[in-house]
Parts: sequence; C-alpha cells; structure tokens
Amino acid sequence: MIVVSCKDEKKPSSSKCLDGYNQTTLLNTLKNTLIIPSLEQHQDKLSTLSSSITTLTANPTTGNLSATKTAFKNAYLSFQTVAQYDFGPAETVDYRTSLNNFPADKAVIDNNINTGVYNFLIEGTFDKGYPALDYLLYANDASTTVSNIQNNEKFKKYLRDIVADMTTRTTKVVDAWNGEFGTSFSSNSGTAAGTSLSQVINNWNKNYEITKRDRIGIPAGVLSVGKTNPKNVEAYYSGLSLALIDASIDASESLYNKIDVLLAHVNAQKGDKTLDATIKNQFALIKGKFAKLDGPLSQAVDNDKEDVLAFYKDATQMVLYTKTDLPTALCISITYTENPSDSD
Amino acid sequence: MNYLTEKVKIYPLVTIRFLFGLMMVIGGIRFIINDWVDKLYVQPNFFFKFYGFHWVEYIGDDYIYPVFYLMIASAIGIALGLFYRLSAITFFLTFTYIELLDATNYLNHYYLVCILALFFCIVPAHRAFSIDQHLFKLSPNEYIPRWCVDIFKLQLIIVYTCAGLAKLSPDWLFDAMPLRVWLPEKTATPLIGWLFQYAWVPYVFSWAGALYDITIGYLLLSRKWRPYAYVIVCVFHGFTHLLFNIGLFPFIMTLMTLVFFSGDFHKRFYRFFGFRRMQNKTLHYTNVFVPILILHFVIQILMPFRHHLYASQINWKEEGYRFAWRVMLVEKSGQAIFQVTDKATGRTTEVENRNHLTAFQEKQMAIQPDFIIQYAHYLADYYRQNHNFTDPKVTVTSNVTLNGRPSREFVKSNLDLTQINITFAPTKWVND
Repeated sequence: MIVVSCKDEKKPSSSKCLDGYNQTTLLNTLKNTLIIPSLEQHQDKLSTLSSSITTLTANPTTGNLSATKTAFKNAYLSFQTVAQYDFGPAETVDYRTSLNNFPADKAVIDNNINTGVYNFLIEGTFDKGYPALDYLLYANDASTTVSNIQNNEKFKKYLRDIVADMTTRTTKVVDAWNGEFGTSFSSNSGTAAGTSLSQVINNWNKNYEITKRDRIGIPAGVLSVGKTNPKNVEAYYSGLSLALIDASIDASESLYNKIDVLLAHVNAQKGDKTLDATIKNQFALIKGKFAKLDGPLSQAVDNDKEDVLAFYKDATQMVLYTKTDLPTALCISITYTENPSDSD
Repeated sequence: MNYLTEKVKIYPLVTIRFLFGLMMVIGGIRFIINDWVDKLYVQPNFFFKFYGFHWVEYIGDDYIYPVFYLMIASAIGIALGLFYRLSAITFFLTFTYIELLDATNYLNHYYLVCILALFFCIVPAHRAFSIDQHLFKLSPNEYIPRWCVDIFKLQLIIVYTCAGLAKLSPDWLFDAMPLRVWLPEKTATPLIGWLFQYAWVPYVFSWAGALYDITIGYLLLSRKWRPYAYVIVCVFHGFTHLLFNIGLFPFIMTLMTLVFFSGDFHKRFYRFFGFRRMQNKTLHYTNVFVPILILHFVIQILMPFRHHLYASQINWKEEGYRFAWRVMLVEKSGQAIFQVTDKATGRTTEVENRNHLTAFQEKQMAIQPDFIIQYAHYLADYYRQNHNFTDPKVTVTSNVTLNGRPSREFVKSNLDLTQINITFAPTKWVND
C-alpha cells in the first residue's frame, strides 16, 4: 500500500536560505557603521540634556527651560534610532521600556514628586524616561513650569533623577557594545534564535510593530471601534509625535538598507518583483502617506482621520513583508512570540 | 481469530505498561513544572475546539490542576499495576479531556498517547508484576491472548508507515524542507552541530528520515533484523531528541517499540532483576474487544489517507491533516488581521488579537483554516455583546508562508466569515 502524495505546492519553490553566507562582514558593518554610532550619538545628546537639566534646576529661567526643551527634543529623536536594538545589553537594562514607555502616567508622576517616594528600577512603569520629561517640561506654559521648578526641590530632584536613570542605563549599553558584547556580536553568526542576525531582525520587527500599533494604531482608534485615543500618542505634551514617528521609520529603513544584501543573496522574490524592491517600495509608500499628515498627531487622529488611516494601512502592509516574508526568505524564525510547548 | 487469541507471554505488555506509566508521570510533572498548565489552560480566554468536540468545557482555573494531579496519580497506578483498570480508565479520560480542551495544543504524539491509553484500558497488563495481584490475590498469569500485545505493534507500525509516506513529497525529498530551515539553526548542538553548516546535510537527513519511518516497523517485526532495528530506533530518536523540541515523543517511541521483542526476551530481563517465580498459567481473558479493535484499525488505516478525498494541497489547506501522523512536514507561519464591522451602523474596528488569544494561539490560528473560522465566530459574538454590534460581519486579511515560499493570501479577503461553518466539505474560503 504505497500512496505517494503528488499534489505538490505550486511554484515558486522555496528559499535557498542563507546556506553558506559569511555573515561576519555584515555583522561588523552593522555594529561599526550603524549600531555603535547611533548609540554614541544618543549618549551624546542625552549628556547635553543632562547638563541642561542641571543648569535648569540650578537656575530656573525661561531661557534655560527653552534650552532644555531643545536638548530634550534632540535626545528623544536620537533615541528613536537606537530603540530597535533592544537586545543584549539593552534587554538587560530594560532600555526601551525604561526610556520610552508611553503614554506617561501623570497621576503617578505627580504623586511621585509629592511624596518623594519612587523607584525607577521597577520594570515597565510609566513614570520615567522621555515620556515623563515630556510631561514635566511641556504640560504647562513656560512661566508656570519655571515657577513650579523654582519653588519645588522635589520637582528639581525628580527631573535630575529621571535623567540620571536614563544616563546610567545608556552608559551600560554603550560600554557593553564597545566591549565584550560588541565582540561577541560580530562572531555570533548563524540563523538560530539568539544569533546576532536573528536578534537584529526580530527587534527590528518588534520596534516597527510598536510604531505601527502604539504610535499610530492605538491613538487613531483602529483597534477600539473607531474611538480615538489622542492622549495615547508618543510625546503628547510636546507634540513631537510625528517627528518621532518619522525618525523611527527612518531608523527602520536605515537598518533595512544594511541587511538588504541578504535578500539579494537568497534572491528572494515577492510576486513579480524582488522582495527587496517590494520592501523599498513600501517604505517609499509609507513616507508618501506620512508626508500628508499635519501635526500634532493627537489632533490629526480626529481632524485628519482619513490620512492617518491610509498611513496606518500601508504601515500594516509592511509588516507582512518584514515579519513574514523576509524571515522566511532568510530562514530565520520570528521568536518574540515563543512556543510555550513542545512541537511535533 | 485463532491467531489473535492464541496464547503469548505477558512480559512485553508488562514492560510497556510500566514504562508508559512512568513516562506519563514524568510528562505530567514536566507540564506542571514548566508552567504549561498556566500558559496553555489558565491564561487563555478562548479555546479552539476539535470538530465534534465543541461540547468539551473547560473545568475552570480552580480544578484544572487537580485534573493534572489525578492524571499523574493514575499514571502511577498504571506503572505499578495498582487499581490498574481504574487507573488506566482515569488516565485515558483525564489525558483525553486535557487534549480536547484546546486544539491549539494538538500534537500527533498526544493523539498516540490517547490511543495507547485506550488500549491499556482493555488489556490485562496487570496480571503479572503488579500490586493488584497481591492486593486482590490474583493468580499471576504468564500467558495472555496474542491480540493484547499485537495491537500495540500494529498501532506503532501504522504511525511509522504513515509518517514515512507523508514524507514522500517534493518539498521533503527535493527541497529538504523544512529540515533545511531547522538544521542550520542547530549548529551549536554538541557532537553533531558542525554538520549543519553544510547544505547537503538536510537532504541526507530528509531521505534517511523518510526511509527510516517507512521501513522501521517492518524491520522490528523481523526476528532477524530486530536487534539492529532497535539500535537504529535509539539512534534516530536520539537525534530527534537532540535536534528538535519534541518533548516526550522520542522516549515514547524508543520505549514503546520494546513491545516488538519476544516474550522470552522480556522474560530474561525480569529474571535478571530477580523475579524468578514464573507461573505457567494462561489467563482466559475476554475477546469481546477484538471486533471493536478491528474496527479501530480499519479507521486507523483509512484516516491518514482521507486527505486524498480533497483536491487541495494538504500542507496548505490542512484538509485531513490532523490525526494522520503528519509530523515535521511544514514550516508554516502567517498573520491574520481581522476586521469586525457592524452592518447595521457601519461601525468598524480592527481586532487586537492579543486581547483574545495567547501569542501561541494566535500563531496557530493564523495558519489553520478551521481556527480562523472558529475565531471569527467568537469575535462576532464578542462584538455583539461588548460593543453592541447588532449585525456583525467579520473579515480577515491573512497571509501564510509555507516551507520557505513567499507568503500568499490564505483566506479569501472580504468574505464574511460569520457566514461560513466548518464541515467536512472542501474549504472553499481558502485560496488554493
């Protein structure tokens, strides 16, 4: 009794994976031309922000507040370029969730300042990092903010503590990349879970999905029967949301433009085009839709709903290419949704 | 009938009774220690059901652990031959109940455990080397009807043969898929990891695996080849244990295939451990189960081939995929984005799958047509009740990639999934 299945899948045939591809050059390029420079640049901007806050708390004036806001903006934008490297040392120090868990919880922050009791080492809270600074620096008009700082030692301390926490974590991440972790990153090749390439691609996807879902989808109400959530945008008080999304998508694209050689190597196809062309085309589409949005996003979600939804739609389409097609072509599994059980 | 009822030695049956019970104890404890009871049964709000078993209800968070404890206790009973009959039936019922709760967790080897457990319910595996013997003063019997032992062999042969035949596909043989994806991930494996940097290795493994599955059952039947075959069994399942995350399966197969060895072979083993008093008695055991078992095996032989009744590619649409010993054949992933619209008011929303499903359930749902429909029906009810949708329509944008191919649209978009019901008819709502 031999029954041979002859109903095979239609062409195109399966990927040839990364059989035999030497990843060392690519990993070194990623590390030396993208990851470490981005991390150091962010460290630099954060250091400027830290000095500004020291100056502001020592001498609260509208001039110093304005300088702090500029430094805040530069550092926050710079953070978007490193958020996608949330593995290795960044994962150890809970980098993304400590520096950019949004939206900020203002009730908790107000309470923290009043009581003077808080612990930034607790994971996953919404009272620290950039979102907390966004609230503290921008929630009121400049003169009110300056007088609040002037009259409240606890407020001053809270500002300094936030930035100190961010600095500590950043230093750890940068030092690790310039040290042992950076060395192991270059040599940890392969396609298994935990290899450098797998971590890069997984976290690249994860960060992109945060942009799609948390930065746009949730505020726009696509997941809540059309009820918009304008206060859930990133950087609600400063209104920097769109600039941050722009920086985040640019960072995704920059990283992609380094790993596109892999898709060329396996000659990945998508329909009648290469997968590489499909992804690049989708980045162009997304940016085109993005250009139509007028900030701040918290208002656009209600006033310019159609354009926001069009942008969301194209941003969603990209996930198919980056999270399903690209890992399949490279034979890398998406591991941030882990199997809790055995398989067969 | 004479052949089936002639007397054979009971020892092989006792051996696998003990080992089966032991493995199930370990498996149950492992499930609890790994926190899988919580992850797979306590955390989900929604369960996917098997066709015809929608009536199986979750017992509740307070009682699910006791069900596992009861299952483990009954497995101990099987191993020791303590209240054997009650233990075997309890084990079968608890284990099967747990498997029926959520089809997400379906694994072929769990299905095999259900079948083997059912067999243990009807064979007199406690008539030698059991506590019951002493407890109930049962006379020890050295001989039992042949069918009591042979059903285990036949079942294992069916499993192997079907698993092997399923591998005779172009993907497996000519593209070495999905091993070509899985093996290079294993370059860190001790001793053999270095092999997987070579592109030809997955092909060797694919062909060797297919050959093994197709032939091993018959080699084990042959008295001459049996010792060599068993060495191959150990090597093969040793490899699969090292390379894949397949839990107890390699151990189940390695230990259950001991049943192929003769009664005398096993007897020597018991002698070695000091059980010297063997009684040359025959148990006159009921043969009432024989016709039912014949029916069982007819079904077992037909079930794995039912997919030929459908014109579709089985690994894509999965018509006739379950209960067919199709193991390790696909690397499949996808995403499914659901849109629920109230036709009465036009209100519409995308669904946040993570609010309804665990990550594992979502992953499984996206690639299995009947899960997508079950979930769509659930969503319609959910939005009816929680968002006052009076006439909900559920559509999905879904894409799936199979064995390294670019993703393609899976379920046809713009179909109202609430209008579709699962039957045995061809799944027309999925693209070919």
